[in-house]
Amino acid sequence: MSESYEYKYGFSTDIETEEFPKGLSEEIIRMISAKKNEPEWMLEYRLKSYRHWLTLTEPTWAAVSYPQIDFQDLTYYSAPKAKPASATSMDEIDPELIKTFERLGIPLQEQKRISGVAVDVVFDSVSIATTRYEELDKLGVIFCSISEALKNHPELVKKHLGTVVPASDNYYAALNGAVFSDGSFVYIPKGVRCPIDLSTYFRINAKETGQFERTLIIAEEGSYVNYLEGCTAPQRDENQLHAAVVELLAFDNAEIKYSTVQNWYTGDKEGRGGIYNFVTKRGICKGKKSKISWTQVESGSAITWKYPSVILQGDGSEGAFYSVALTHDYMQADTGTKMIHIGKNTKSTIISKGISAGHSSNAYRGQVKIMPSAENARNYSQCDSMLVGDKASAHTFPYIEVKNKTATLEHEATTSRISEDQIFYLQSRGLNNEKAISMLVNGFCKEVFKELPLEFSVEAVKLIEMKLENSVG
Amino acid sequence: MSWENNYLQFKSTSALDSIKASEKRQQSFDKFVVAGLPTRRDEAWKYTSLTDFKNIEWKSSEDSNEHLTHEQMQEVSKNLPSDFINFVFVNGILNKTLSDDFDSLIEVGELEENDFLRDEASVESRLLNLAQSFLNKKITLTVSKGKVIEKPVQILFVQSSKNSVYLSEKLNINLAENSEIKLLIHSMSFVNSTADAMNLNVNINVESSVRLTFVQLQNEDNSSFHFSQCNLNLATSAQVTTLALTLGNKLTRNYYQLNFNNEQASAAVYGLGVIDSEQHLDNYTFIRHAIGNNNSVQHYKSILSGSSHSVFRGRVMIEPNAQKANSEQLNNNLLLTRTAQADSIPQLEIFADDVKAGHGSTVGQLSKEEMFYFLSRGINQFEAVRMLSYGFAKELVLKIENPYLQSFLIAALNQKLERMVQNG
Repeated sequence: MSESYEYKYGFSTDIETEEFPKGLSEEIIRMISAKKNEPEWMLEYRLKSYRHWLTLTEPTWAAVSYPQIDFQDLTYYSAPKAKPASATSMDEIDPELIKTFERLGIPLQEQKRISGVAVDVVFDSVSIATTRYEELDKLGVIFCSISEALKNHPELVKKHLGTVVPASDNYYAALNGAVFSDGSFVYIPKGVRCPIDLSTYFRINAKETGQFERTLIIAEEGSYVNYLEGCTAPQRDENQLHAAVVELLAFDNAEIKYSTVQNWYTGDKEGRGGIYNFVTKRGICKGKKSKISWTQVESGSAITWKYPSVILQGDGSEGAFYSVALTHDYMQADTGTKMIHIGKNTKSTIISKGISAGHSSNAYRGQVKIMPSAENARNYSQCDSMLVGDKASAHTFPYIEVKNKTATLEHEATTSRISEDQIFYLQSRGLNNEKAISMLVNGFCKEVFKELPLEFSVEAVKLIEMKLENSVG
Repeated sequence: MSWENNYLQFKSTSALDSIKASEKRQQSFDKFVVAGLPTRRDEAWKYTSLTDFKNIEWKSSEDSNEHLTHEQMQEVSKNLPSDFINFVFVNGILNKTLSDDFDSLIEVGELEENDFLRDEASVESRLLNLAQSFLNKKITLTVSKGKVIEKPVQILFVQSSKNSVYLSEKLNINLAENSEIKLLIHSMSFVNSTADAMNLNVNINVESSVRLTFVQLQNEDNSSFHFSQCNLNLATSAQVTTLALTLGNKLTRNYYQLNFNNEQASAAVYGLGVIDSEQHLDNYTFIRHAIGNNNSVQHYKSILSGSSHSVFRGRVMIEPNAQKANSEQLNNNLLLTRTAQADSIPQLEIFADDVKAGHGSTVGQLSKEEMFYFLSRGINQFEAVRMLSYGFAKELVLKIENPYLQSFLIAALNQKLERMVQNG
């Protein structure tokens, strides 16, 4: 096995950072809020979330096991010192940072327009740079960090923040509500079809730091946006915590496509280190015929605990969830989706592919709920698991609740391994074992990959190949 | 009367010979007092509420040694086909008049210490605390090595009390090597009787090469509560077919646990619920492949009318050593009315790689085209619904191959469907 197959984003950037002392208290929250010059109501929101968080206990129902997290032993705010958020031209950004992102393959420089993507980059707790700002501004599209949005468009943030994922939603959402530091904010005005893909790149750099970002996307009537999210973290022996909240709102006839390629550090071969990824992602189809789709490729983090969901409130709205989750070594993933049908003629599709290799455990946990008001709701779910190696495990826990007789639901799940016949067939045509397996896995995931934007889908295929070459003996 | 007073009274009237067993029974009750009954906060009871059960003042079985009236006797006899070997328990007591004389097969005996043994981690543990507190006997059915019992065996539990009685039964079934039996456990009560409750705990020990057909027919009055736990242990080359046919009861909770302890065994686990009005049915299955090279199939269906609610939770676990295990699971629900509700939670937990496992689940209604076809041929709507429902349900009853048993079950199913369509 060659070195180049190792986690190539595992380096850390040596940069001067400003960090708050460890621990969580009202004091720290006030400090975060003051640091970011936030309005009074925002601080109130944070404190309310924090007080609620204190009343909650950590959830234990997921099929993952990890040592207790000491929330007082984490740093809740860390930012590169060289005054980043307000950088107006690329020259003001620390060259060390630019280098970091170049190594990660993220084009921060404007000359890389050719890639046709606007990027917002979040480094530890703060957003570093947002590219192609002016071009979007002409159309009235707002794409900036959430701290900037709080300064420049407080009314929009105030109106929508916490409406999809209230701080009282769950343990990690409450924690996020209290301490979130940055994230992306997207606003697409009425009737605008966002001409370029928007992308956010998350990087955890600092040691023993929790990243709590918050993303809010609002698509007004008749608008369309394609949003991409990527993430990496350095290789460290300790575990790092990532507890994000993502909220999507789609009004009448609006469409949001949200794609993630997650490539956090997964821990080493013995399962030391890696990111704990406890994320709440939820979208609401508020308007008629609105659409939200989540596409995710999960190949990172030691523990994943993530259920991108859609509430189908508007009549005729559609939700979709396409996911590939790959676990290897000692990774644990408990991921899936929720589709809550409220409006009439709502449709949802769930396609989930899990691949477990090594000693890993991979669980699909999903819920489809048809409320009494959801006439003619339609759901199709398919959850397939593939096992590579005899130490891996795969689980499925779908919950199906139907309260309206006009609903039509189908759910199916299969678990299997790659058959010897398939391998033999490919080997007899001159492919080696590894190539054969990666080809079969790619075929297995094809339904999901085809939903990804082109650049992402190429990246995803490579990522899966790379990871599997590591773990298939 | 509170459970405490109930228990004291029960204890005094049905003392146990074995001191150890007495102690165990006391321990069960103590645990029940501390832990209480399951609530919807428990994951395994998420969709089933015991509030109605808790609100009724239950009495223990001992203070209701009532006799059946002549009409009731006649109704019971209708359920005793001559092609069967029948055993009838009325309010928990073996009725010698109605039962066939077949003493070598079945035995009502004293409880011993290890009759109270159980898996504390089981999701039914708290329910068993209560059930074991009110046990006073056990029924043992033994089939000796190589013996084939041709006729289906029916054990019929009749509840007829004027009080609201909580009855707890324990049934141990030992099937020795290479034997064969077709067993029907049937529970019934009379229409418009008071609410009654029954907990049926069945342990079946299936030795190698045994052929077992095990059917439960739950057809009590719509005010009754029925809890059952069936635990099956399968040895090499055992072949098991089970069917839980639920027609009656206000609330039914069936828990099936199947353990594959050796290779080459196969099990088909079926369930059919046909329920209406406010009926609630919760089927929980747990198929445990501890050893590989085994085959399990599950198929559960429900037809829901009125405001009925059905829950299916099928858990399949394939342990690390169980290579070459095969497991299939399917759940189909047919909703006939707007207010009916179906929940389905299939769970696969797989720790071995060379296995085949899959599950499927559907919820739907009768298709408009099919209805139209019937109507255009002059068959009215009710009749059409009945026929289509029968078509949907029939498949599972036909899995029970013994013709006598099959026709008995089909008759019961048809009666229920007719009643349901008339009311709906």
